[in-house]
This record gives sequence, C-alpha cells and structure tokens, in this order.
Amino acid sequence: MNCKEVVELSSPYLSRELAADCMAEIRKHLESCPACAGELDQLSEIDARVRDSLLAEPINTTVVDRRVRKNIAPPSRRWISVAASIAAAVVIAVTAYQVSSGSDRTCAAAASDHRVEVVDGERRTWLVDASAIGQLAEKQGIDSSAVRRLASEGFQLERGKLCRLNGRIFLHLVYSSGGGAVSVFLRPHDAAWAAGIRHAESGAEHVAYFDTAHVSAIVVTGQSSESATKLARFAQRVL
Amino acid sequence: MARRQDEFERTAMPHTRSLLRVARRLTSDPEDLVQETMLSAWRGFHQFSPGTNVRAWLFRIMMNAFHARGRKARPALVPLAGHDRAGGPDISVRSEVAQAVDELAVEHRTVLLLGVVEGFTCQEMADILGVPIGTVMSRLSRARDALRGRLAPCAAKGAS
Repeated sequence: MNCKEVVELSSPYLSRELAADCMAEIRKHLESCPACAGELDQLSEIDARVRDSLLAEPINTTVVDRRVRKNIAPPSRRWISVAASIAAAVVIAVTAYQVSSGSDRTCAAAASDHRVEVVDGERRTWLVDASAIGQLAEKQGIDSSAVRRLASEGFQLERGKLCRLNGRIFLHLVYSSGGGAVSVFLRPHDAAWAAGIRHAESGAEHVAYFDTAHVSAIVVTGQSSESATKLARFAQRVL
Repeated sequence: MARRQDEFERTAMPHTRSLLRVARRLTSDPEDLVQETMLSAWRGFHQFSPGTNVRAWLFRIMMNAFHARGRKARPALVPLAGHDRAGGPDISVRSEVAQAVDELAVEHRTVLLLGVVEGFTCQEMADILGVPIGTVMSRLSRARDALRGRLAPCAAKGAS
C-alpha cells in the first residue's frame, strides 16, 4: 500500500471500519512512513478537538421533547372528560331552557284561558255532559275514568272542551267546589316536564303542573298557590 | 396506541439530543427541524424494525427533511460563554473550533458532524445521506483539510 492509498483510506481507517487485513496493511505502512503517520496523527488530533468541543456544548432538548410528546400523545382522558362535562352541561342547560320556557308559556296560556273563559265567562262552546266529556277525553288518549276521579272529594265537573296551549292540544276541564272554579288541563303524558309538582304565577292565577305516568296536567285556580298545590296533589293521586 | 408511544419514547426520544446537536450547526431553526424529524419518525414508526439502527434511521429522516427545506441559512456561532464544562476544552478554543466547523461547506460540515462528532461510519453516513461511500470519504477528507488550515494557529498554541 502506498502513501496515496493510505491518505485516501484515512477516514475509514480512523473510524476503524476497514477490513482487518486492510487495517493491518495501513498500520504496517505507517510504521515505515513518518509522513503518513504524522498526517494521520494530525487528522486524529483535529477529530478529537472537534469532538471534544462540540460534545461539550450544552444542548437543551426540553422544548423539542415537550413539543414531540404533546404531538404524539393521544387525547388526554382528562380533556375528554372535561369536554364531555361541558357538552353534558350545554345539553342540560338547553333542555332545561326549552322545558322551562316551554312550560312557562304553556302555563301562562292555561292561566289566560282560565281567566278569560272561566273567570270572565267569555263565550265558548263547552261540553257539559259528563259522558260526552269522557268520550272527548278518550279521543285524546286520556282515560275517561281519570276525568271522573277528579270529580271526587268535593269537586263537581262542570264542563269541558279542547283547547290549544302553546301549540299543544289539551283537554280543558272545569271543576267547581265551594271555593270557586278550578281549571284542569290534561294531555297524554309526553315526558316534556320534570317530575314533581311545579308552580307558576300568571297575573292573579296560581298554576301548579305535574306529570304522571299517563298524563301531563295543569291546575289553575285564582284562590292561592297553596290551593293550587293542594288540588294538584289530589289530581296527581287520582290521575 | 399507548404501547407504541411508550416504545417510541424509549427508543427514539433519547436521540433528540444528538439530532439537535447536528441540526443547530445546519439550520437557523434546529428545534423545528428536529421536531419535524421526530414527528415524521412517529408517523413511520410502525415501519421501523426493532433492533435495527434507530439512530441512523432518525438522522436519515432529518437529513431528508433538511434537504427538503432547501437548507435554510445556517446559524451564527452558538453562544458558549458560561457553559464551559470541567474537563472540556477552554472556551476560546472551543468557540474557535465551532466557528471553523460552521464555516465549512454544508456537505463537508455534515459528514464531519455525523462522522467525527456523532460517530457514524462512512458506510452509515452513505446510507444516511444517500450518496456513495466514496463521496462520503472524499467530503470528510476535504472537511479535515479545511479544518487543519483554519485551526493551525490553535494547534500551534495548544502544542506550545
């Protein structure tokens, strides 16, 4: 091996990646050639200086590592949970608003009907026959016996007709007792309202409304909110 | 997914330091280049064969990304003051060496960084850069010659 070949192979020789016999040949040449030996010593020294200098420089991988980990990480369960909670809250809020605003409007319409048609006596076409009212109830999907049961405990069924409250058809029944007339609005249960008896006030009318397994009901009276609640509890039991 | 992520973090992530050390001498936005490299590696991690040279694989991805970017301007000298390390060369020598490396042509600088600093063999560099091994040897020889000319005064100072 001559000097030119040794210089050409200096890089793979320094990185010790030549075949064993080739490495041996170069070593043999270097022993007998001070010029080539000096050349390779100088290259080795340069390599060492570069390596020592650049490896000693501080490298901060924090930013890169954080960015990479953020990008390769699956969506965190915590954020999924937060997102689900937010979504659920929005659904609940929207539903509550719709139910609340819907029931408020329906109750206001019921109170208005009671005021105009029952208290003020504005002329309307009513059914007054209990049997005919029962048939009307059945047509609307309401058990006619429920209409009769409401007439117990001191209440007398006076009349009935269909009406539209907030876009929905209700059976408007008017019962009388010693304390005055009470309107009961019924429609087949559509699960639109929350459980339990709820209250509303509309002008001078007191409104209580509730759901059973079969019907949605609104009780309207001009007496007091306690009376409305008491009547609603009774109605809730018998419906 | 989590298992693949764990495997990636265990095998690939430890090499960000080496990637960043080379990238900072090649481009003005080394962190972006390394991030791009690692995310590209993550996307292709399912194709990586365990047990093969992950480090060479990552460097090949980075050099491809670097060339695809069109070789943005290399950085100014990396500030070194205050970062001297016990046992390392003194600051003046180190900054001069770094400056000499930064002044090399990018092809020469690349093989010097990969071969001398990161310890890749000529054959590995040929695979990483996609060039014949003879080209690597030639570039490395030129890089050393250029450095010898630039570092001669320091070598003399260091020898005195």
